[in-house]
Amino acid sequence: MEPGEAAAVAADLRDTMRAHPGCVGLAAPQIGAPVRVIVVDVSAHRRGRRSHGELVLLNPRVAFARGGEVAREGCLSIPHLTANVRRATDVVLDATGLDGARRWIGTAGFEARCLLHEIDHLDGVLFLDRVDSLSRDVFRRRNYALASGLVSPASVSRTKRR
Amino acid sequence: MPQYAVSAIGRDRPGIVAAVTRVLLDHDVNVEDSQMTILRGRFTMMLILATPEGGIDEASLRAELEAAAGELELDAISLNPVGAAEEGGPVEPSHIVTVYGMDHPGIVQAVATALADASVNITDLETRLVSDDDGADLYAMMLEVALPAGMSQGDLEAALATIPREQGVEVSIRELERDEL
Repeated sequence: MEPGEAAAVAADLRDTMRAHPGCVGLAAPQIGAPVRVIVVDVSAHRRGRRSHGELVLLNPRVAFARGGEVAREGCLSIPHLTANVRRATDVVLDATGLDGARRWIGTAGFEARCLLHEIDHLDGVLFLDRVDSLSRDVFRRRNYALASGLVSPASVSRTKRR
Repeated sequence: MPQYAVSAIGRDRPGIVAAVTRVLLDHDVNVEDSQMTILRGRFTMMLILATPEGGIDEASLRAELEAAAGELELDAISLNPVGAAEEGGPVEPSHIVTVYGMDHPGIVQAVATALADASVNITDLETRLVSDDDGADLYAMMLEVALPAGMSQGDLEAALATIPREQGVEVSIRELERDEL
């Protein structure tokens, strides 16, 4: 992966994430870029108690993971569904920053969950692949468009009036 | 009844547990607790045994374990009597400490010493060494700890405050959430 290519993909990922309020992470394959780049920022999220701020990681891999916890996840690429997914609670990641420097990230809880979700995308694994039961653990989302900012609240209320 | 511990280590291969527990069963010894895992390609085991009424023939049990270890080409096996466990059952960990950084000797020692000086009890410790292509090894360690009575998370943070600078590592601490049902 050329440094310039990584930077361009990272900028695109960041813009796309910022354009969707509530979106806390994206991986390059979600925007059609077949490279191992992810962006995560949980600092503005109510569950993001522990946060490194905006993380842009190249070639991230899980060096250490322990614990397990089930929590609800959604995904911009599967906007109509959410699911209960079991993931490690504490992780240490080994990655490279945009500046080419090796970077280690130790985190836990929601931020760890988001990073693991995005790393899964790099391997073609979706959160639906990780649910125990498609009938019990997957849920249809009603107001994703509003929640994600895909449409403005104004356009929603207009639609309703008609 | 006295309790014994068996510990063993050797190159991993199928059949180690089967062979060791066969010997134990032949001596009517009950495995009360155990932990077995692979460390850098070596299979390791630690067993706590309860002996039957009337005791055991310790010398013959040891000889048979050593014979089994020889057949399995293990590096070591030992049988030792162990003292009484701590009163009041196992200590419940309250926090997880994660330490990670460039590998070098002394990280575990520094962290463990700081915790011991603060009377913090380590209840579980796991480490990983992850090698990189350029030879820079990431060392990561996660410890479950139990704080002494009256100690807060802030006190724990203070006890470990000098570790990052002294060891060139990152340290993070989080409380273990416990659902009270």
